[in-house]
Amino acid sequence: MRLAFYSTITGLPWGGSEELWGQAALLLARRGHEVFVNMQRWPEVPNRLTELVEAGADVHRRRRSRGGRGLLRAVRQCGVHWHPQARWLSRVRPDFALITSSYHIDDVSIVDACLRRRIPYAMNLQCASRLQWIDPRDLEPMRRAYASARVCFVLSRENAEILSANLAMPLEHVQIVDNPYNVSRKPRVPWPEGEPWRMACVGRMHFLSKGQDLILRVLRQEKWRSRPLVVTFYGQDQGNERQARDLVRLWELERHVEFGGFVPRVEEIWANNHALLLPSRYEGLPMVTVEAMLCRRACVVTCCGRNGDLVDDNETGFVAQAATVKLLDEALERAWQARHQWREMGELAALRVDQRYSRQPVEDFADRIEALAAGRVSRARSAA
Amino acid sequence: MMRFGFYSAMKALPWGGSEELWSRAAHVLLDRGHSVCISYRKQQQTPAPLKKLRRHGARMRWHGRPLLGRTARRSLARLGLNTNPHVGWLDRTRPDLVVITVGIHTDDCTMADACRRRGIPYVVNLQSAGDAHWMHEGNLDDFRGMYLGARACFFVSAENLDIVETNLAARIPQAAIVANPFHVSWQAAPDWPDEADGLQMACVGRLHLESKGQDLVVDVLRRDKWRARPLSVVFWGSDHGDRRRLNDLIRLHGLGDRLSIGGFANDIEELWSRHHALLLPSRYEGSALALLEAMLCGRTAVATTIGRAGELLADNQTGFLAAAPTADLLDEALERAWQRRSEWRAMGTLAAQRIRATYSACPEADFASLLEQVAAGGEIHRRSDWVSAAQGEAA
Repeated sequence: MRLAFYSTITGLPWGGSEELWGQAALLLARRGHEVFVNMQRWPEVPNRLTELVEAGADVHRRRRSRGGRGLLRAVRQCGVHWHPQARWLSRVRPDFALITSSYHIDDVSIVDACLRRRIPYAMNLQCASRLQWIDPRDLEPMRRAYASARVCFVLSRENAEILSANLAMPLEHVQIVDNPYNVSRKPRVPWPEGEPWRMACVGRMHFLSKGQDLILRVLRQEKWRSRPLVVTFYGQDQGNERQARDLVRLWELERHVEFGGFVPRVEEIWANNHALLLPSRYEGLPMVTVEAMLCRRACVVTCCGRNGDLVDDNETGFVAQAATVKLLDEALERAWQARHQWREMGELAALRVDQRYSRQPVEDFADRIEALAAGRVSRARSAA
Repeated sequence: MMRFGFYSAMKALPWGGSEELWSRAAHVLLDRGHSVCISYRKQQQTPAPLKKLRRHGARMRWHGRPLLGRTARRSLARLGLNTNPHVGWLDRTRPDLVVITVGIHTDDCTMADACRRRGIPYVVNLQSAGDAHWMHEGNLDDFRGMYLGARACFFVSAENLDIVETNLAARIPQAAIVANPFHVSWQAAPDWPDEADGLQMACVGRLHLESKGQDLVVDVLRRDKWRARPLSVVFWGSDHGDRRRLNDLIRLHGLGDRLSIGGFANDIEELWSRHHALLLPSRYEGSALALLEAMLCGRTAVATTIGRAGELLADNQTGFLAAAPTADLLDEALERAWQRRSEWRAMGTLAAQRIRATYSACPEADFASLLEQVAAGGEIHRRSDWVSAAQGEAA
């Protein structure tokens, strides 16, 4: 079959939101399907795209849209059916398209071009939050995009609820899927011996989404300064690393905060850290939580995305009810008081995540795409 | 006599609560014999407060959207070309002090840049800050220049100051916290409404889910336990784009019998004569006028601990604070309020006493005096307990 994969990501050349479709597309190409990919052009070519090309996929790296959404809105208002990527769609003529939206407010107007060409499609929403809302001017086309999809794949019930609130409409054809992870199913990761207690905060350095600022604002309090706790930030800079480093200096947190940069081998992070600290303001399904749990580490997380379903409060980790200084401090305080149980909690976390998480998320997802493309699946009712 | 320039970065709406402090202070300064010039975003219709200021003697300049974006301006500046759209206005008016009012902490900093280019002292009056907007590598230096280069930075809550200092990753030594004005009289005491038809709460604020969080009210009241209780909520405020979506959410969850949209209310004291308490589920705020006004009118409030709400409301005494803007936490605070609904009137009376004991009766005159002090070369020094107050919340 001819399968098209369109990604809305614009802020980065590649990211965690691209792994599910990227790996599924690779698998489907290897299964003999004709795979077509459309994503924004960057100077650097992500490795996964290179792999896709090598597997025979036709990858179209589109130019950054000049007029942006303002132009698309203006065109729409004039009643003209035009989209800069419509020609690509006409050329490719897929049997089925998967539209991946890395964030719920991303532009998915490509869907209108699919609908006019009667191309069946599914939406794959990778992250949603209530901090930002779909622009009222885009509400109707966004509603149309999600309502007309064969299936809306989301990563968590929470994200489905946020999307439904944003669109102010029911979503009855939602399916929850699992993202792929970057460790083996039962990795052998040694427990770091001795003090200080080390926590890893893993994610792009982006305060708005990952909330690293909250860690610094908690640790600047007097009570934390006297405790043998070190938090290491792992991940690439997405605009806020300089502020993080300056805050560490301003608040004299050098003894408690380190910067670990991007570490490609996840096991290496967990061989040096006792627990995960993830104060995200919003998430879809944080891979780092799944990976930390598989590596037998307890998790201190905020209740967003799938975190609330993965981490059992006071059993496999500690859940802050929301991403605020006060509530993160409360969860971290509970964690600190129970630090001598972190190792056992991590063991339990590995068992629980093994029960709750797919062993082969990519294969599962590829199977679903195949079934949808073959018309074997009617519009499924919500699992959320 | 001095010349004051007022610049507002407001662009999303013709007028709003963020414009009250500077515009009223401008009136006070005109009364005191100073001259005032104003630069405001071009509008289809002149907002009434600006018409009044013009009649009072203020000189208006209408600025348009900058033709070039921030990146283009910065690139041209590197080539030595000045593209700042405000420099000409400053050259013509030569104010002794410019008051820059920004609605949210990441609003544009072109006027601060123009002032620094011309060596004209300026102050920043920040009306709200929150976690939905962040400065970043691409604009950090511009914002540091704006806030740290000001003669004074006036915030309306310690929480906002903490957020901005975290954004800047720098301390603002010349920060001060000021009071926002209100739309009710200092003696306001509206009658207590009849309770025969159940309790009626008012959610007062622009219809804008991102900032005012009205969706959380829908999410809480759709829960079974609330459907069985005689409580209704009216959303009051002008449409900031989300009226239709809010209406659709109310219909979607079958809550039309207890949630309604009231529109913009001019007479706030009359509004409170029809409601028993305020419900304010904001995601970000500076110092919500709605909360000040409700307290002055003798009404208790259920509010998120955002902006100045955590300082103004004493939890379980004069109101009920939700620890964060989530449906579960708002539900928890509203549940506490519901269990003590027979005490709302007494709590409202206490709120009215407390606000009058701790809050300025005339914030615009106080602000005008601060501006005179700064324009005359006086210095503003931050109080040492502000950040500890923000930190103390977590302790």
